[in-house]
Amino acid sequence: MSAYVLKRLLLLLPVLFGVSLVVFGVMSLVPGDPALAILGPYATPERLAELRAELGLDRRWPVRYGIWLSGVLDGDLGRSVSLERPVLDVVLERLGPTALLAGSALLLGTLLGLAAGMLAALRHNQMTDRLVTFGVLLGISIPSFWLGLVLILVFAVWLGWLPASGMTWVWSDASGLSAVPDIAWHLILPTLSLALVAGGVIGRLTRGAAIDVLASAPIRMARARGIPERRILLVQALKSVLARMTPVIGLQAGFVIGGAVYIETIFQWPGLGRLLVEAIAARDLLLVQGGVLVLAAAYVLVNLVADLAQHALDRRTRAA
Amino acid sequence: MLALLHKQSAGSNQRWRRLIACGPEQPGVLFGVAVLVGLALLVTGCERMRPPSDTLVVAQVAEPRSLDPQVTTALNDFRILVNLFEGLVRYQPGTLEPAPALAESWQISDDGRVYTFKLKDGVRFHDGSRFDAEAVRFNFQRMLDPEHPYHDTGPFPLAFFFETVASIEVLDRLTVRFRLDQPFAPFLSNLAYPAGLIVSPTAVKRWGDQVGRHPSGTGPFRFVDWRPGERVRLERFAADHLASNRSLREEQAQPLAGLQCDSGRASVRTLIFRPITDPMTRVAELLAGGVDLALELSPDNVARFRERDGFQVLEATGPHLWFLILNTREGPLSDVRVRRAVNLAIDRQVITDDVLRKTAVPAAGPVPEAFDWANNPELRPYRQDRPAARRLLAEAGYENGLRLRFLVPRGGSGMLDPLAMATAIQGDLGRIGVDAEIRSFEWNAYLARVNQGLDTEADMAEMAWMTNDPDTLPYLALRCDASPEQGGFNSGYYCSRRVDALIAQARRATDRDERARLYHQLEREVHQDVPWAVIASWRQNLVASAEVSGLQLEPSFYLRLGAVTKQGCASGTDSQ
Repeated sequence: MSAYVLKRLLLLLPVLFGVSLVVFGVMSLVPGDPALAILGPYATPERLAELRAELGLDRRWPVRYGIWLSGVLDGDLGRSVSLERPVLDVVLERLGPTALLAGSALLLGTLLGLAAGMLAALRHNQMTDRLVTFGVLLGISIPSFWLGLVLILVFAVWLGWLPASGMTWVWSDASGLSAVPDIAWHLILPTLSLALVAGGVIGRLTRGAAIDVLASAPIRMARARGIPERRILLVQALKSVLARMTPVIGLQAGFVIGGAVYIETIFQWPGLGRLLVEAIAARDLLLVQGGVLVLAAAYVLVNLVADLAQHALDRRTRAA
Repeated sequence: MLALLHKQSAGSNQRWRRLIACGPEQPGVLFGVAVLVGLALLVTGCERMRPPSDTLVVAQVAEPRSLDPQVTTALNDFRILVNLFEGLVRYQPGTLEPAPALAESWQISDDGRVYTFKLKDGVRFHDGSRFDAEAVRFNFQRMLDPEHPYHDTGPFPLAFFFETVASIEVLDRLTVRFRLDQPFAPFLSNLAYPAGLIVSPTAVKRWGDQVGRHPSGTGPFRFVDWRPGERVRLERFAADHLASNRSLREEQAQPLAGLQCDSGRASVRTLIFRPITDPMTRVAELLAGGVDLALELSPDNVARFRERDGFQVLEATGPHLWFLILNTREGPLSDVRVRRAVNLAIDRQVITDDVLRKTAVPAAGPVPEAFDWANNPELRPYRQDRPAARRLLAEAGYENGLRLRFLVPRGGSGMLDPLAMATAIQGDLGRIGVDAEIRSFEWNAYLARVNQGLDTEADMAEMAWMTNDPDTLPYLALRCDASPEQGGFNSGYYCSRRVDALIAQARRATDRDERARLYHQLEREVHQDVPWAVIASWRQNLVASAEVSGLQLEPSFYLRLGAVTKQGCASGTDSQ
């Protein structure tokens, strides 16, 4: 088991290397650079050349990549030219909010999806099933950024119940534990925007998995042995469904992490996704690089956890 | 979507809203919602949905890059900086003319090369250190002298604003002298630019290249904190902030008593700049009351806010110019008749009123109207005249029409609505038989391409500039020696010795009336030769809640917030 984990963790290295190489290459191919973004209309070729030299942009990209890579091995992700700060500091600062948003969206999406899927499977081909399936289909089809805008419109602009954007009240001094209610309040709308979509996908696949599981031999056997229906559903069936759904949930983690890019922009959530959008606009290559690496690593790790969870659940299912 | 946002939230649902909405008048309803939504709501009250009455929340368009005035080049950051710092001179409110700030007075030598400034006494930086002539010299040498011990706290991309400075001498504690290597009339207005704001040398020595995150100046507000992606917070610089405050100027350090609530209005004590990069979210926050004022909204939204109760729209025409660079060296536009025809084909009024919804005004020449002293009042923008345009084309041998390659960015600083404007221009040109083929690029890619010169690649290109002196744009973009090969921005290769001579004379003239006369003449020349199709000047807008007053939008587009008050404090009590 630990050998498996170690192997998967080691595989992370070539993945990150590949991702960094691709990002670096693509960003170097895109026209425009930070020197131009900084100077704007004042960018004469002469001044550009000066600023480029000062920022180290005058070297060819493989050389810059080499310099960057050797820095990374020393734990230095370089310096952001658009924010005038070390990339590592910025990325770590923004990682927390993204983890919070993606985590709560994945949790809520999973709960909603599992509940809806199980319910639909239990009422297979009845009215409830059709209603749930319709709702789930809506969830899958609605783009989450659009949903986000509608939620802002309804709950912030019309009703005034929830804040339109941000992570805390900007005028509040609350920090640490005292900021928790603030953050929870701001978390509701962006979480819903991501969770309803992720939940739709999970719900749809849960329904199929649950129908299979409910018709399977162990469940029929359990029923025949007179085990109470509630216990069958909540313990045995749910476990099997979960085991099948874990990889899907892992993949949905990819969706919420990716979705964070635009949901964070719409809700002005101070996370990595919004940082990336701003960094790309400013052609801040090292910042893009740092942000993408962290997101890619998070994605790989979440999927590793999902695989491990499935492994664990499977064995228990087999034992049962 | 935005239309929906406006329409639906207006009038019709007012009654419904009153029944269920969480407003100051019905805070109790929130608790019903709290049961529904679940967590954390008991500690949150409706009144928290809006900033307190002593706090002004400004929705900015981006996260600041740096609060070091010598490092940043973004207007977005300048709006924060002018509240934190002061320069030797500033623009007189409502104009673009230099007026005293940290310098009480100054003298300019007859040859226009020596500027001697007398500084205000008793001024301190927010960190408690003293402002004096040494501090002034420190600031400019940090920027200009590569040997200066703190030059490595840069880069300083706008140092070229002061490249004519040959030396800076400290004559006594409160007198400082700048020697220029040549007469340079725009020097004072360059000093009024944010690159000339004075930073505390103590802060630079303490924070090094991180001083942009720990700014200390002499302005009416001091820096409190910066939460990345969320806010920059400033607080009114009050006497109690300094232990040694005896010699502080009165207007610099307002006693807190002056901030008390006066018949329901209070001076703003805290300023919060929030970066809201998504324009739709800026509108939503403004409507929801989470921000007090927002900048750079789209023309459509400004038009709607004009008609809404509870909001005010402020506008100021800036020293901005939006124009088409015409390729005077290659292709059909090298013929002045074709260039005039293009100018006569375009209906500027339609572009400013309909495409831009009155967020711009038609412009005539290369000196924007905001420089009222230098702008030629007799010069009128080209009026649309299709028959005349067709005649000119026929004279030039294009009676059967022609094709023009037209470069257009998809966005960009000061570019207004470049694609919609390009389409309108394309339509106008089509009616005189000119087929303009639009090629659009992302802004950074666009700049890289256009700043290289149009060459044989393109016939015309959109461009926009914001400047701080009438000299800047002609000097950088209309001289023979300003071609891209020579490091300038004359991407259309216009070259007129007469215009060159006028630019050079105006730069040297220290008498303002003489300069004005030269610029008037320059504008007439350019109007004749039409190296550009000058289209519009941007009217910058700001939408604020009606509760805010004392706002003034400057032609410089800076936002000085020292005099702003807000409604809503309880009368007779301290605003806190």
